Amino acid sequence: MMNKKNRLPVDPLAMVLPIGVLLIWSLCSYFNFLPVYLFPSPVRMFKVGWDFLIGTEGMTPYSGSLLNHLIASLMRVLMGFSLAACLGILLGLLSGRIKRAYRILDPMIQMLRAVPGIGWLPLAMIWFGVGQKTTVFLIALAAFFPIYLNVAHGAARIPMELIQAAQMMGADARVLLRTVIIPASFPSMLVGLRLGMGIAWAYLVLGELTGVANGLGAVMMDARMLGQIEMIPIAMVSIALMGKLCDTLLVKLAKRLHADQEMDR
Amino acid sequence: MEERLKIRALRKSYDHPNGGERCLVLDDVSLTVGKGELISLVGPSGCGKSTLLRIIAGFETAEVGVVEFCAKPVSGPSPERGVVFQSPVLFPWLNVRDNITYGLKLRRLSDETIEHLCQRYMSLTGLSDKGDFYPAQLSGGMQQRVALARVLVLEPKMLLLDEPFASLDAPTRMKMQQLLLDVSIKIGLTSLMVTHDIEEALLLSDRVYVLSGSPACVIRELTVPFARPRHLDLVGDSDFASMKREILHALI
Ligand SMILES: Nc1ncnc2c1ncn2[C@@H]1O[C@H](COP(=O)(O)OP(=O)(O)O)[C@@H](O)[C@H]1O
Ligand SMILES: [Mg+2]
Repeated sequence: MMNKKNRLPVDPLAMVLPIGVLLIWSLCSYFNFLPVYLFPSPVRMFKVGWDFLIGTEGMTPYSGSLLNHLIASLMRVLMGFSLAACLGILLGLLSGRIKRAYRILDPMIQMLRAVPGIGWLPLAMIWFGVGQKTTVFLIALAAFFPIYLNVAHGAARIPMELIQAAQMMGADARVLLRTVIIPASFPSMLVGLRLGMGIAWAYLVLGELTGVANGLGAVMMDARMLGQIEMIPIAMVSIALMGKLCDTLLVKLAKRLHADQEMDR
Repeated sequence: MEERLKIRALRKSYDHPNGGERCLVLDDVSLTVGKGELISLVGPSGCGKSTLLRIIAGFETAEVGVVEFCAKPVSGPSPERGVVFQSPVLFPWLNVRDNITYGLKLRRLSDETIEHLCQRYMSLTGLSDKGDFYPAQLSGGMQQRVALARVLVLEPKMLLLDEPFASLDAPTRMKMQQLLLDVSIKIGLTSLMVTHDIEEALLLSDRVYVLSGSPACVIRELTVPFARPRHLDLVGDSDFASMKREILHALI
């Protein structure tokens, strides 16, 4: 814990390594220790990044197209993630609360989970072709598991007495679901959704690498072919920032829904 | 006296945790609770007192025997039988006011009625200024008051209390005992309370049932003669001491 009084947004010690790396990198570029086709200079990188966003310089074929790619990627993530969230929450609640549903669903889901998400790529490409549908499918598939697991675990762990307390005050099954089971499993639901959101961005890259016209993953792959090496780290950073932004929004939304609960970290 | 709860020849067993034969928890338990009475159940720990209370509450069923509430067999949990558990078991995501009005909101009542009832029972249980607090911000004693208020507000025909004050420190426990005494008289409550504290049983109740160890059955039934309203000072009384001794001897 840091002292409340002189609290900076970032721990100064955390800045030492990044600044050090940037410094060494700049010096190496300045004295031409590094081949430019492997490590472009930080200044050029920044300029290309700025041009990617604003598009006034026309430095690369990607000039000014950041927003396009970003929105294309975001839409895929949101589609895949929503699918995963709907299914994961529904099946998670079922298998967490109903013994028989658990016995039917859980073994099958655990079996499917044993296949690494990447292992689905060839099948997905046959089923859905190259591009949009495959990407959304891979995202939905990969994000489903952490959501399902956490919701099921949270729902199963609700203390019996909490349910009984609601019942003796007059709650029937439907009221119970709305007023006890969902709010009581909400914290683990959020954990699952956050993990799922993280994985969604990872699988976005995988899906887009297979070849789509637009999207941040596509930029990375194309830039390699076109020899626009600066664009690769720029796309990587954009994805990292988007992932972080989505996570922050998710937590904000959760806090608004359940203001009282501890939901940090 | 009008009968509220009638239990006859109740029998209950559980599967043994590591297989094998079932273990008998309740064997031939019979008791009655009349309207307006406060009855205590004492017995060694693990003998099946909570099990008995859960059956009366309707959370579990017995294999053999009669459980009648207001002359009708108990078929499940109902707001007619309010339960106070040993731990408060509040909804941590609701503040005190919303915890207390949880059951009221499931009935078709106007907002004013709900607000009015909530105010009344919050002041009766000494929670008037705690409405906006969340359970985690309250002490154990205060949480237990909320647990009491949320069932009292539903005006149950009977209160089932499972060692409600056992986890509180001594001064808080005494305050809560006094509170239960006062509230019982004020609103004419009918209660069945499980306790392992013999003094608590004698202080609060009209009658005490003493249960034997596993399997549980009623081995003594005592009528507590002390006039009401009672005060905690009763503990020093010599009749009180001799009754306490009597129960202790029955238990050991
Ligand atoms: N759900 C259950 N499954 C199996 N055994 C149980 C269950 N609930 C209680 N028991 C057993 O029944 C006995 C009585 O338990 P309980 O009613 O909690 O006792 P008390 O409240 O008097 O301390 C104990 O031996 C306990 O192990
Ligand atoms: Mg018990």
